[in-house]
Amino acid sequence: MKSNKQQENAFLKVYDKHADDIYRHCFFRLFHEELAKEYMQEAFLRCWQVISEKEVKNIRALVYKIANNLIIDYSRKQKEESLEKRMESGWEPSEFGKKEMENSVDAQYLLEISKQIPEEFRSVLLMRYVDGLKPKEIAEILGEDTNLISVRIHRGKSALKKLVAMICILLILV
Amino acid sequence: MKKFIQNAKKIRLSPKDKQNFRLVLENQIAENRSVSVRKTFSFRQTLHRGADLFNITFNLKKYMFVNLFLALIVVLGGGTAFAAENSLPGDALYPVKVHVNENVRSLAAVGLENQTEWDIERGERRLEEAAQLAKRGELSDKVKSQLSEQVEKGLDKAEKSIARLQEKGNPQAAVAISNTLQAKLQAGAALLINLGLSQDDAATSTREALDLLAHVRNLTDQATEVSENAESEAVVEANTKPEVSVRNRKDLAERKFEKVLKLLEENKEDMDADVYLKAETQLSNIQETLTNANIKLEAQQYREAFSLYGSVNNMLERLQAYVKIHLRSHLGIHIPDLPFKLRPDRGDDDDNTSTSTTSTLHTTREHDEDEDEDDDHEVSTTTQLRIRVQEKSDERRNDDDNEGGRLKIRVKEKNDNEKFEIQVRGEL
Repeated sequence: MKSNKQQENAFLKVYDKHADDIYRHCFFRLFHEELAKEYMQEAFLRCWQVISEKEVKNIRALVYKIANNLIIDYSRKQKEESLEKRMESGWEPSEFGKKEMENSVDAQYLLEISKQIPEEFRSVLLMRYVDGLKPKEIAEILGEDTNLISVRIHRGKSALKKLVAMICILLILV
Repeated sequence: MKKFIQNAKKIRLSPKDKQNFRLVLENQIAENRSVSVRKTFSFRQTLHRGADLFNITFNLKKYMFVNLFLALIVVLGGGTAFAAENSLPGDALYPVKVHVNENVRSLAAVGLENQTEWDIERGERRLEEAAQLAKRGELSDKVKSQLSEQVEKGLDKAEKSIARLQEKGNPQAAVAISNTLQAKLQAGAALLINLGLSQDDAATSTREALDLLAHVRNLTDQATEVSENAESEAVVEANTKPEVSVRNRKDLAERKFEKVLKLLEENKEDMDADVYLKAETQLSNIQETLTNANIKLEAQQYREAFSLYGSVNNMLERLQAYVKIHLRSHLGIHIPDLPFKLRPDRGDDDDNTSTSTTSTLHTTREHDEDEDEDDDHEVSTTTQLRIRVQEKSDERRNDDDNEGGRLKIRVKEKNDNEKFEIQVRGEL
């Protein structure tokens, strides 16, 4: 068994490595920068609470699971908001994030596509292709069957490709 | 879509935010420090490639280095590097294969287990090259010695790494690696056997191939010994936590099974029909054994389940090695049958489903009462050996081909000091 010190180091190591992943995941689910930060922080804090009380084999999966549950709770509490309203309240990525992209057109391109992807596909696509999680890990996080996740990833990928193609055509035409 | 993913990855926290919140977390941890917590976190490294944190860390690092490897190929000229992969000793691109491609792959192999697997694969590549050259009739004595030396080098490195894994308290990983080593050497030997049998006996290259085969067989015996030692260590560890150890092996077996199944399905068209059929049949048999192991696990017969899962892993590793070497070398190969104990029961549902052998030995010594006192003692010894073999079904008992096995008995009697020696050798 690990000592407390080793546990702490392990947990902080997960934070160092995956804080960005969790933040990004929250951002693309909530489309709100400040909320995303808040939920990321809450997820890690709650994860630490769990670790301090019982054995956890996969800290990363646990953080994702907690973040996912927090987001679901938030979504249930909130009423549907229009995209314009979201934009007003901080929908766009931070200036830091924007600077990282080649230009503002890329940022706009990313957001246009992201908002069009159905929620059920968005989270699994992000976890699979951006965060690098395997279908089995995603299934564990979301509490669903691995096969179902694989199917969802496959369908999401098809939907995304179609979206990308459509938006490319639209951008060319415009 | 690639661009979408690339841009998505750029969404992240600012360094300042990240650092600030880390301080918050450290603070929280410090507050909790006084609370008595159960030390339950385990970094036990296994080949469980599921959601274990450490393995994810390895995979992420490997992913980065694989990208580096690909980038280097682009720099070198992708075509050159890829073409070099099929080159053999004596070809112009062979130095690129060995000194560039393989060295880059060495760099990409992060961690002791990955590095060991690569060392083993490197040795396997040399064996395949030898087989290819022998097929062409170009396996000279010199090249044979060089390749053979490199195979041996790979084996030495693998053995040291396996020992280190055991010292690090990771016997399961040591078992897995040693099984891989054994399987690949066996597959290499099978390739050479097939080559030796299919070519003209008079061909020099065939003789070189058979020489190499003898050397590989020695190395295989060595690898078998290493594998058995590793397995013993793993058993000792398993005794301390039986259920966990068994379940880990089960997961490994199931993952490996899926991998081999996928390998066969995806490469059916590229395999010789007879090799594919044999592989498919064997995989089916292994699946039955896996099912038996699962039954043992459910019945909490952990020792039996542990052994069965270990055997399944071993056989899958072997089958995979044979199929892969066949696919890569485009040479025929004979996949040997499974060991008898792993062949699933066939025939009726008779309770008497096993074959047992019992033997009893009666020895009588008789002294001749009429012998002259001055004569040397002459003693006659009569030895009776009764053997009963109970077979599992009438069908087998009536099998004229007697494929069940053979029994050789050699009795050697020495009358000196009333000692005698009896050797019984049997195979079922």
